[in-house]
Amino acid sequence: MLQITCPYCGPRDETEFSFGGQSHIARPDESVDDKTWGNYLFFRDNPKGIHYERWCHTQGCRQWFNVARSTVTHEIKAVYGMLDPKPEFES
Amino acid sequence: MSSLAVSPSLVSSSFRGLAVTLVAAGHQQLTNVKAHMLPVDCFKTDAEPGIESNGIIWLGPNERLVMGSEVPDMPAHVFVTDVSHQYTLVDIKGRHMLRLMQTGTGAFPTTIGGATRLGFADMTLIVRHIDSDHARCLVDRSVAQWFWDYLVDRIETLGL
Amino acid sequence: MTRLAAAREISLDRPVTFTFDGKTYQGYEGDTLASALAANGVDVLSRSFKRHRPRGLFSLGIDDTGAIVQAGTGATAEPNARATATPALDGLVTNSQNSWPSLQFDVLRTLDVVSDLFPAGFYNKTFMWPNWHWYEWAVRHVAGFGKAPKLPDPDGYAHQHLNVDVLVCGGGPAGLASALAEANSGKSVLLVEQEPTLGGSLKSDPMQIDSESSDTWLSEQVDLINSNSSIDLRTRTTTIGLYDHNYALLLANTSSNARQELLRVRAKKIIIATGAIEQPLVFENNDRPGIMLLTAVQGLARRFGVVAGKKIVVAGNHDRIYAAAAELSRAGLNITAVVDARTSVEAEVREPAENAGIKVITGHMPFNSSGGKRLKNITLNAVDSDATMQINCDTLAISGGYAPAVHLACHAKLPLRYEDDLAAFVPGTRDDLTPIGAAAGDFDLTHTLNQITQPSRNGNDVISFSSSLGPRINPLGDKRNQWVDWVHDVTLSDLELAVRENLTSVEHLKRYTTNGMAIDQGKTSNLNALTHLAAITSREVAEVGTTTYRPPYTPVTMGALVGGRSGQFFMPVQRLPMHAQHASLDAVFEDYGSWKRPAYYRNGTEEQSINDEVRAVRNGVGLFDQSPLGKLDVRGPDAAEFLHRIYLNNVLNLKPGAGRYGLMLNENGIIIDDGIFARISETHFVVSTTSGGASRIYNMMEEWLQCEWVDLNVTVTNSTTAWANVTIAGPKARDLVSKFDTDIDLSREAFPHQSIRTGSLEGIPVRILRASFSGELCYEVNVPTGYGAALWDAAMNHGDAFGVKPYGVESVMTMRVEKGFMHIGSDTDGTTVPGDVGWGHIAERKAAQFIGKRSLFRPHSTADDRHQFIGLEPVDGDTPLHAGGHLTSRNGKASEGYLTSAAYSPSLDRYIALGLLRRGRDRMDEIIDIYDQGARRAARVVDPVHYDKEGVQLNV
Repeated sequence: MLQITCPYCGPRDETEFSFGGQSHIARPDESVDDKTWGNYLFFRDNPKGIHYERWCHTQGCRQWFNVARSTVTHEIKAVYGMLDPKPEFES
Repeated sequence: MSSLAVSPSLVSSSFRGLAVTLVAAGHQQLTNVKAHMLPVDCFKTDAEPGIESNGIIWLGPNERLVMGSEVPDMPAHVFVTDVSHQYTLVDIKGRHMLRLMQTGTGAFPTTIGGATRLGFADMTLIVRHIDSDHARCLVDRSVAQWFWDYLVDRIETLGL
Repeated sequence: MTRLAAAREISLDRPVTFTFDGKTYQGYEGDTLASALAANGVDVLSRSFKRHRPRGLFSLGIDDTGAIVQAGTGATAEPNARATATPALDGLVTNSQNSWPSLQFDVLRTLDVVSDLFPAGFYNKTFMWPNWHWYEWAVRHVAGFGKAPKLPDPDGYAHQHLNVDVLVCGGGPAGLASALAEANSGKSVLLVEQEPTLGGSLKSDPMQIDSESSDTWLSEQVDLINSNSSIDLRTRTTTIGLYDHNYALLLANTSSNARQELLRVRAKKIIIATGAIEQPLVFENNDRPGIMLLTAVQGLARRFGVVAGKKIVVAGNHDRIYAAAAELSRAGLNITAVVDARTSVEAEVREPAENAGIKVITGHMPFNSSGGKRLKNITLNAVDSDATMQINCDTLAISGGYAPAVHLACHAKLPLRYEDDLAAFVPGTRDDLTPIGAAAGDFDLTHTLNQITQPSRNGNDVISFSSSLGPRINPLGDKRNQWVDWVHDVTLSDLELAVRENLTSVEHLKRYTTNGMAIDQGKTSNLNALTHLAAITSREVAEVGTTTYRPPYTPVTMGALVGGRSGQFFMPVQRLPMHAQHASLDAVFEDYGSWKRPAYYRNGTEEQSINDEVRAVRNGVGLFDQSPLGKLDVRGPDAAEFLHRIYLNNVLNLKPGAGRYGLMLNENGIIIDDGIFARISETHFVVSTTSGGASRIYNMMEEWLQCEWVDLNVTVTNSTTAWANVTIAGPKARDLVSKFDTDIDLSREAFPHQSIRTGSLEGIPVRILRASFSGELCYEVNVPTGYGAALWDAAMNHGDAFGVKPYGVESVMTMRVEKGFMHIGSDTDGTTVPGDVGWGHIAERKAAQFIGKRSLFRPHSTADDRHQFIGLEPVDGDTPLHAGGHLTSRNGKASEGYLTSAAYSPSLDRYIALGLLRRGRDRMDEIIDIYDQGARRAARVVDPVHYDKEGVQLNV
């Protein structure tokens, strides 16, 4: 049961949120080839380490935001705006 | 004046436990204000996340719930929706109010005057911490009867 | 028996009576079932799992292996109850488990005689030929322990969500001191203790603290705790698991009306003060009743005033056994000897026992035991010679040292390291999650208490309970009878069998032998098992490691986990605004998603009722409660542009007042929803989503607006439950609606099909949409929810003259199948794209980007052998069809699609269906087979629209 600190509402239990998968994926335009489009649809990173992902506070403010979370310890290293750049961390 | 009357959404209007009571609060004017981006000067005094002020509850950065009939004038493209018929209001009163809220959530606002939207037993509720022994829940009208029955069941199970 | 006067936890003036296996016994308030049975001299409490050997009390804690009983009877019975954790309540009825016909004379003891046939993993090699089912009945009856109740649980359970500054797990000395220190520094503290009384190890094993007795110190601490308003103290509450971000689950046996509560706690800091678990010695026949842990003998005496036996020998491998023996002797027990596996023991260590007149035997280990259902004597062997000796005794108190209870630390992923000084594992620590005291390997209580009040540096100090440690496992003896895991009947020979079969990883050892997998989860067996594994595979214990500790720490009932969310409270149920009206019209309600809706209104059989409703709608007028249909208000200057990117269809050219049927796709080109979108003004659209799909589509729209198309000036509001929808359908629908007082022009010219009008009706705001799922003239009249019931009643009144009938979801489904209107998710699946359902041309014509467009141009989406939406007419029209049947060519073996929806059509008086068929649109009039539950039915492929192909009924 993760505790996620919504940037607006503060800390809430994981059950109030919806997970949106990997973040910072640029949506390709229609001119890309089938393989590129397929990568966009189906391929995602699977790091042992920091995962940059999207969450939505569906049962609270209903806002989408970004989270940098360790897939090993589940520690949440950063919560930042949906449009903000990805923060880097030392490994 | 309409020929059609408004019906209540709850079968009972009150339930008495040992130290906590449920009361169906009557129909109230509620207005949802939402926009792509809310102008800063939309409200005379605005609510912040988690705190209710002047009958306004902050629901999101671009969304407010206004309680009562005084809805401020809004510029164009700030959308005002009458949600008076979308919510049922349930008051929880008594010494064990907090214990009852704790059956479904850990996010009930701790300070008096707090108000927020949160998840409670797989529903989304808006809750207001009115006093140490008084909370008001705004629940979607379609699940109001289930919510009421669930609270009654919790009160009886715990002997509240 | 008479209790010792020093019994601290029982009230001698409050006796209780209970039964065990039909016999009545007396105990006292404060007794556990275990202590009361021990006081009554009951030696045999259970029969072991595999070999049905008699077993007695072994430990006084939840780690006990012998006193596992069936507590209570009937619907509230608890199988596999630990008698050590069951209060002896007046009137309690308990029974033993796993024996037949009785505990004393168990026929299945014969399994012990042939136990060589049942080593670890025997079931992987036997009971298979010729057919496992031959043996199944017998094995099912012999296997297992307690019996689960067969009746529904009548008891109540509840959850409590809590947020605290500090959670202290454990009410022993370290936990008490920590709780007070934290509370005194201004923190809110939740202190939990699994037993009914505080004190931990001090209850059984007293000591001096700051020159006063620990009893005095303890009672002072308890007073301080009780009077501190920052400390929430819960006894009989066990921390069963730690989870991410300092979340804890605690199982509380409470005094509220609920049988159990589950506390769901988020703590800023957690202190793990769970103490240590005494470890047994391993020798031949070490499972005999009368052989128990030293702490059990101590606890029985000090806590419950029970003398464990008449002649007691203490055997162990560390310093503490001497003082313990002396203390027991002072309490009045007959301790005849202390046996130490170590050959050289300091004089000052031996002194307390020798001064008490107890014989000290060093350099010896227990080798074997004898006696029937109670110990009679033990044989010792010298560790460095062939010498043996026998001692008569009825009780052997064994102590192989103490292993920190690391479970919670491991749930929270703190690392473990093996400490030779303890011959046990010790956890790491974190700023917000701190093991302390014996749980951290610090067995010096003075040092622990100093650390708590004046924390020095980070990191644990490991201070052993002994200057040195001897072995726990006797290398001599018949390994087939040297027990490691009492509860699952695992012996040293089982461990060695696993290694011979190359299962040398600790994970394999555990699962192959089932060591550590019983209800005690290896609390007194894991350490000895992996110590032996290390020895026989020439590895260090640290290298072998442990298996993964997982919650729950002790068994937890399903009721506590569910916490009242069962039956009608399993999931929130949504009710229609006109629910009361439907009930009074004799509706038969079904669950449609989370909504309770009338399936039909009872008027004869189900079939008759549905058929009557359909005929009424097709020939007269019907009323339907369509309130669950999603209503999303999409508003803003960019509303049209936004929807134009969401829908397959053209949105930009829709005029105010008009509506259009649209499809929504996902990025993979698959249809996810359909419905009417209607334009109220330049900047205001109302989107109808499928009933029950409103939240899903609302969330999807918000996601695109917040994450991708952030510059669009649009707002979406989910108004589904703000409106009641009274749908009036049938040739007489206009006649009915015209009876209302409204400013809306209802004439055909002013209000055509698929358009929307707003205004007022009977003085209240109204939105009316002309849309139809039945294929008849239809008005969806939306009013604010609170007016829905009154509107329905008024419509029934007005409709009386036209023979109005209420109709339910089943009629709607029948009519839409007649009309060939697809239902997303029934007639489409996770592969269906617009071209499959006849909408390919619309997709191709739209130049602008919309969600899913790119995916429609992949070869797979445009292949010519895809499943296509068609209608089916069975050649024999009189037998029902079922959704899910496969479609094949006549007598074909390959599935070429399936039947997706079926109904009896009252309008056509035959059964009809819809389906998805490979290249379906090219196969009109072909006769194919429906392969349904083993039978083949011939059917003609037809247009999906079975009834009113021209749509005449709608253009009125």
